Amino acid sequence: MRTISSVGLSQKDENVLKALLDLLGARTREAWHYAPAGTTDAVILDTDNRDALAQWLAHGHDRTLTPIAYASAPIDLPVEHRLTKPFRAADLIAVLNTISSRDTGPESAETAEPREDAEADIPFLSGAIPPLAQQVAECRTRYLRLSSARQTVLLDCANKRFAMKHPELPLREFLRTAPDQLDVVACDQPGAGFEGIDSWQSDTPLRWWIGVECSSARLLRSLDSSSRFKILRWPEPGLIKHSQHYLSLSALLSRKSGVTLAEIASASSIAADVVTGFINAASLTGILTTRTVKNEPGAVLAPPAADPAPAAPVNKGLFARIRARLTL
Amino acid sequence: MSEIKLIITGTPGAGKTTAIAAISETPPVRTDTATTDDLAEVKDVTTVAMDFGELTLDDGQKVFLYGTPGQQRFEFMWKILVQGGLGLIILVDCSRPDPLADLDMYLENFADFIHQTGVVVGVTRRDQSATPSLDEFYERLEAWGRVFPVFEVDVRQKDDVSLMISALISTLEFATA
Ligand SMILES: Nc1nc2c(ncn2[C@@H]2O[C@H](COP(=O)(O)OP(=O)(O)OP(=O)(O)O)[C@@H](O)[C@H]2O)c(=O)[nH]1
Ligand SMILES: [Mg+2]
Repeated sequence: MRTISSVGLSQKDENVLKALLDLLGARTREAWHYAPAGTTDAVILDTDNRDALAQWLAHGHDRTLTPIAYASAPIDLPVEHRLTKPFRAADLIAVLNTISSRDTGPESAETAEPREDAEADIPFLSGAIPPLAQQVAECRTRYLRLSSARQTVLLDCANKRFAMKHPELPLREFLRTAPDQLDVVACDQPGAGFEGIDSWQSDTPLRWWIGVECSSARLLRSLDSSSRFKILRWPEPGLIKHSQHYLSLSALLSRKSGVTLAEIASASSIAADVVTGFINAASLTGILTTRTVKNEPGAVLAPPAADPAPAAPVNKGLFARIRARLTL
Repeated sequence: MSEIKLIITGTPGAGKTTAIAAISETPPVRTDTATTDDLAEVKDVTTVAMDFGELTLDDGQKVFLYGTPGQQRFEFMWKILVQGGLGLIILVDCSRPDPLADLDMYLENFADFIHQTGVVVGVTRRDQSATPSLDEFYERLEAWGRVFPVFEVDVRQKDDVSLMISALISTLEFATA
């Protein structure tokens, strides 16, 4: 016998779920019963209810249970099992059978389609939150409130601005707070302490540093790792001047036909997670454009236009020395 | 080894001499002269030949910074100065009547050089005018295909001048295509 619980469901949905489970009986590979949260094999998370979700994630859930995302629209979360509202018996059976076959062997039952980018090891599956960058990219509420023990940042998604309470650390350091120490709540009200606040700032730096610091080395799901990436303009100096890598990446993404991840890797020795963070940051701040290589066979599969003035290797050394001189 | 030089251009008063002074190891060799014509209302001195500063790299090699004279009547000198240059910085003075037209004029005059190398645009005197917006500057550069950096800078600050040069070097190394 298997058990399933739920988090954040409306009373009506919870009743429907319980009724369905009672009715499903022999139609699932194993018998499934509803049980209170805490000790079940699986849990249905109403991902539209971000407050409940955040709370569940924050409070000692069991890493061995299997989450099933339940949302009103197809969502872009790294969760293997998904159901779209409202509950339908056939969908529920399919998901429950997939979970059974995972645990008892794959030979029968329909297995969930493996995700293209093989995200089976994504922390969310074992209970961790999707990277903050992803949550910001997908934010559908008016606000996103980020709190550490001593500092709170309120991102006003609708108005491209943010405010801070008890600023102790500069933004970038604040965002380096370990993910499990950073509480993220999606909400439609500013929340305690932020009513009538007038110290709003442009959200560009906040979004930028979230991309850079909180991407967990993964491209945003709206981005295709095989495309050509290009920026529309350079990030403002304050965001890139502290690292030569950011200047190099800005330049790489300034090429006429943009660059692919492979081209970045062959032109520079910048670590993949730095590249990912930079591209996500550019996307979150609205300066990124992409071209899908697959969709433009002739034009883009051809190598980019011949380099009119390739940086000769001899120049590489010169450039490095000029840089070294400038950072003194 | 051939001479390594970076070229700084821009309208009179945009800050070329100031930028070179901010970063050069040696005080810039100034060829300024008292202004005589209508420029006199704006500035006391202007550069008639070129400004010149230098940076020494760790292997002893020198990088020269050349500021072109700003006034368009010295245009003939621009072509001579850029020969063999590594790259270009254009300073645009936002307190002037039409900074975008100023930018266009320099882009056009230095077009061949920019094609072969690269350019960084430094938007100066922002304390005196917040327009045009950076977006408008970027629009003027769109036709180039490559996205050249446009930064708001205070050329009296060494770090701002350093950043323009670093961005230019990065552009030359990574964004020539
Ligand atoms: N208020 C203000 N003044 C600035 C700024 N940047 C530079 N200046 C001043 O503007 C003047 C610039 O003059 P120069 O550096 O001689 O300009 P230039 O480009 O060499 O001019 P020409 O040699 O005549 O072509 C200096 O007095 C600077 O101190 C700025 O951002 N704000
Ligand atoms: Mg001068």
